[in-house]
Amino acid sequence: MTVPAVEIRQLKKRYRKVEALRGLDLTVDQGSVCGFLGPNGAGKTTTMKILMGLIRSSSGWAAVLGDDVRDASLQARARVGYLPQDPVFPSSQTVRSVVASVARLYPGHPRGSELRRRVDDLIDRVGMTDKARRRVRGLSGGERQRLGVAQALVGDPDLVILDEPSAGLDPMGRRNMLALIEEISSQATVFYSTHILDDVERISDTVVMISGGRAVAHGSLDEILTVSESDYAVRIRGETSGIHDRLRAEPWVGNIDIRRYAEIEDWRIRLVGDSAADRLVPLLVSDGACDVIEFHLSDRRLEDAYLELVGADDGD
Amino acid sequence: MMTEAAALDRITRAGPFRGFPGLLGVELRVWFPWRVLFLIVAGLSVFALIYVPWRGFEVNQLGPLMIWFLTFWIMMLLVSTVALTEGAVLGEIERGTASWLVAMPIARPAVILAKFAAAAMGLAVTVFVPGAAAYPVLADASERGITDFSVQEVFELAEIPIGQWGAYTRLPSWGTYVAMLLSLWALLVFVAALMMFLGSVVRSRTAVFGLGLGAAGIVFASAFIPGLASSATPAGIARAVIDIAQGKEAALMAPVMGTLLASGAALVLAMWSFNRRELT
Repeated sequence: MTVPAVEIRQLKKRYRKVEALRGLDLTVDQGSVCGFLGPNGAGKTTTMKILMGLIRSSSGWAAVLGDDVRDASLQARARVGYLPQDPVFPSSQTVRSVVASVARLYPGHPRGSELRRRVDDLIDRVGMTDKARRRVRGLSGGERQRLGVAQALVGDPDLVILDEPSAGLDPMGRRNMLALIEEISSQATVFYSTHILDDVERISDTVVMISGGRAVAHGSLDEILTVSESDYAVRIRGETSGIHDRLRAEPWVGNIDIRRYAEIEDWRIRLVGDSAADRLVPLLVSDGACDVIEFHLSDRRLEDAYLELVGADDGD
Repeated sequence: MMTEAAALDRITRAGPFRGFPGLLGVELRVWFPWRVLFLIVAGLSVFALIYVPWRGFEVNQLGPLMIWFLTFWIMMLLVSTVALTEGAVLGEIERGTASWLVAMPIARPAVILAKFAAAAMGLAVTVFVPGAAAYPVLADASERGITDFSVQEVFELAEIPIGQWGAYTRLPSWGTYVAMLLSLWALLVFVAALMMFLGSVVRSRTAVFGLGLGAAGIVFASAFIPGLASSATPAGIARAVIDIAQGKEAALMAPVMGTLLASGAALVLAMWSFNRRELT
């Protein structure tokens, strides 16, 4: 059995009066692309910094590729590539010298022509060959992010941790970054934080949602999207007030969200209880005043799940 | 390429110095060539600014020339060392490059050690190049000062004590002169280590700069305070350098050893503090 790429148990972090993490639990399996979602201040960057040994947890336990980040941080970092939020590199160095300098910090790094070849390959991989001689101070935000990815890959890592890799990028830069992450995922586990839910739906297979320093949802993208199978979409035509009142009176009906389009209404009905769906269909078709045109499980998007899970936790 | 297991083993064995060679390479590029070149030119300029008008005077004496040169040169080197090292640690923490660096498989103490080693190497060149270049000129001034008998007679007639400011200031031997330069380098290394320590514990760059400048000023001023001058402290080095410039005997061993010990202590404290510091 392979060890998880990231394993966190009851992780807590307190900055003076602010409790950034309040017992975070999560597991990222090796080989996955895990999106780490949460609002600003939820604790995403704090979690990543603890994993990278930049800050210490107040309590709890975290391991990267089986190495405890407190006791074996050096070993862990040798197998992890990290792109910080807003990466900063020595401004007077060129793209090539930054990547070469980082390469020299890894144990057993290649030397001479082999090192140059490795550096050039990485620069090419992130699409910066034509800017290899440019100084860092002359790079755009997107180019800096790509340089950040190149230096994160320099140690041929088993795990890549990316903190908001597509933040601040224009649409083209964002698309390129996603393509790059997809490419990286063929060779390494990717654990990345983001606010952009579309990105997560596009490239992630696992999602962790964090809010208020705790994980509020954790699982495969499919699991997150079907976390509540009791949402049903109903398209209905005709006089609907009667059926609406009857449904509202049932204890197994939670919420009914209605959108009207001329004579047609789209209802999203939330049911409570396992057998509620079995009771819903007969009730709907028994009403003679209206016709049910469509009936199916509601298509949930990540945004719905996010707003539901994170929004609910925001009130804490 | 070594195997992953071998690479991880190397990391474990390297301990607190893991990554030092690579980091030293990065830090040396900070000092060489431009900073060092600047300090060499500045040192030579200080000497030229004092020596050139000195030659125009009828009185060519070695003592005043050495005193003025070394005084201004030491002051310039102390201020430059403070200015060039005040941001070495805290500046990188504030800019975020420290976070970037320590996320690599390197030991945090190695970051401080590499910065200190690069500064020590840079300062060595900036002390020895202008210092060595000045020696032949000082020797020339010494000869012309000694042969200027009229000056000696004037001093004797006026009953001005000859020696400290007189024409007979002995030129230190090359060995003593090199020992003096080594002592001066040790003094600057102490200031660099002190700046690493301040950068690791203080949260404001202005405070680091102010404290560093204040400490350097105290060291320099203490050289003129009897009692501290002969002590095994950095101030003792400054005093000894000035004594040698005046043609006096000076014991360098105690102040140099004391200063090196103080530098080591400051460096260890800096590494310990940086190792514990959270890079938020």
